Amino acid sequence: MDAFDVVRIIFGSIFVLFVPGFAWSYVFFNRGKIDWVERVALSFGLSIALVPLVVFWFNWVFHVNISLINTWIIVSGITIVAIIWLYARKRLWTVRLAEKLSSRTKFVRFRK
Amino acid sequence: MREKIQKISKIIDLSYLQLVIIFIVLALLEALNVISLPVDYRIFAVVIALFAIPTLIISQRREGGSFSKAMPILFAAFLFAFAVRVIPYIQHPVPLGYDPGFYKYTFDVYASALPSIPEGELASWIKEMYPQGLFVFFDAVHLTAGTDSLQFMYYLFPLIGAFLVFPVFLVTRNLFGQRAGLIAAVLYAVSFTQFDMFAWFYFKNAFGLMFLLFAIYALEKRKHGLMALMFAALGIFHRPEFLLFALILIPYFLTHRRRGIIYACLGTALMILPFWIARWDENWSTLTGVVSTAATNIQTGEALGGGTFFGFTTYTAVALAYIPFALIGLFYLILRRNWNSLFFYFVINLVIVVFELFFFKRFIIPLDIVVIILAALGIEYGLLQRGRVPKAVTALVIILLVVTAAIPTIDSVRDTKPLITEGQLEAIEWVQDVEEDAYVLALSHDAPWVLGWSEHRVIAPGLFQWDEHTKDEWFAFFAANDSQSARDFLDVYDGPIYIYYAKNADNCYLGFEKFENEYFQVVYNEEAIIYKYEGGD
Repeated sequence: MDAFDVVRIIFGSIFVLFVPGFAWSYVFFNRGKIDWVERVALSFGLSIALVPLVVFWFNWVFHVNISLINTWIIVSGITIVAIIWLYARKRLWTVRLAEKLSSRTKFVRFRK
Repeated sequence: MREKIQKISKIIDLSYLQLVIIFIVLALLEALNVISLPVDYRIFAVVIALFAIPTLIISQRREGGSFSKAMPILFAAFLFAFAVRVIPYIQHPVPLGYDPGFYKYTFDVYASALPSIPEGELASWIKEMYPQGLFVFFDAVHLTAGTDSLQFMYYLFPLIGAFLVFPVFLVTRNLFGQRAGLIAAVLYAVSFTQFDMFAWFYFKNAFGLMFLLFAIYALEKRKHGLMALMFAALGIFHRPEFLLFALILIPYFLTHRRRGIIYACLGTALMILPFWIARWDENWSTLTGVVSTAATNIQTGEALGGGTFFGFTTYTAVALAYIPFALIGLFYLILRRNWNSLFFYFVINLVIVVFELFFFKRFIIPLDIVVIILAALGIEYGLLQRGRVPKAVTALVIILLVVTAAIPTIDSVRDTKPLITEGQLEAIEWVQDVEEDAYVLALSHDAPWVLGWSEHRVIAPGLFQWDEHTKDEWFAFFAANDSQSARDFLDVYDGPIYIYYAKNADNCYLGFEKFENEYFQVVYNEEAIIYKYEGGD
């Protein structure tokens, strides 16, 4: 096994075994809701659950071949969907917070 | 009358700690083979749990220890669990257990079918034995990390086995506090049952336990989306634990009535739909098989279809140190009317194992997990939360308990050997270079190894898709001494046949006289012997 193989095993494993689950752990638990041990453990569990489910679905429904590039795209896609979800949720919260704050300001002005 | 009850209660309470110490010391002496305890001794475990009731009634939940202080213990448990799983591989490079050959062959079939999933071409025994999840996951890891089937098995299995320390810790901490979580993690790390699962190479079982624990964690955290995902993962990785979790959900839903559970189950059904539709016949026959086995076992009292693992009596011996505390934990849940998922998990799993319903020996593995968690709860509320006891005494009891539980595991780590030797594996690998269209005949003891490492079609009694003989024909072949009978048996196949036999195999029922003639040549003769039969002309 040469150095390239070792590097590929390490980074490839992290990419499949950890990254998608890590992103999705924030979908289920906001920052600060769980400690880092919980998040790391969940990240592994979620990745191992999500990757075969999504890969099989893509192969079965859309007849997507399981090649290196397609697997890479699918795993990245799982991660990106989580990031978009988090971004949308944050935006939604920001909008709701802004609405809340503006209504409170109006109320204060009205009282004055 | 009330005073009398209080007096008795006080006497019981005072006797409890002394009984615990006596029990642990005796269990330790038995683990060290200094004394031999009768089977009835296990009743002592129930007596201790009953004596703990006065303590449990008055105990209050108090959080113990900071998170940063817990980390070294948690990581020590992880490292211990990892070390005991790696040491056998340092001693013997051949994988442990009977199943590695089945796994290696199936991983190789999936890898060679890329970029497709070989669902249509898979033999029926693979479809019955192995759900797709682990193998599709292997495809993804194989493509991105470049690992082959052996690397995947060698590296990932010990890691997953040790990693389970964390889900055990998280589930226990979530329900019963950090200190109980740590105790559960340590007990998992030293558990003989969990090590034995590793030594038998129950690869998908380890994934099943991980998803089962995360599903319970999500259920108790009311994260139904996460629960649906973990439940689906159970369905595509390990069906027995999928069934167990499904059974847990029924009483849990009836007692908690959360609509989210229904939605989660619907989500799970949707996620696993393509996996199950693709194998509808196999899954249906497995399900009907489980039901009919359970019905037969109940009606006749026969213990059929238990699976390969040790029985419940052996389990009570190897887990003797923590069983009383598991009962204390169970009593605590009952006294507090805490009908959480772990309570249902314990009851359902225990019923399957004790009443020998189906696959009951293999269900000892998840049973041990819940027993460990309940034992941690029992130690927390039966010892640590108990006032009036010096900390040194409780610490000593816990250390003795962990050591007692660890002794059979450490003995097993030292003694565990692969079922075949390196020399025999070399003999199997020698077959890789023979004619492509050749078959290899092996006995059922060696067959999985030959299947995984020979890269040829394997003929074995009652195994694999290439076996074209009935049980009686196999028996006649084993018993025959004349070459003609052997040739008639082998001529069913086109192409040369290599007959593999590992010399030190127990119970050799393959007579060799029939091969000692001009039709059979010895082509390999070291730790295993290989005969070649050219085929009938």
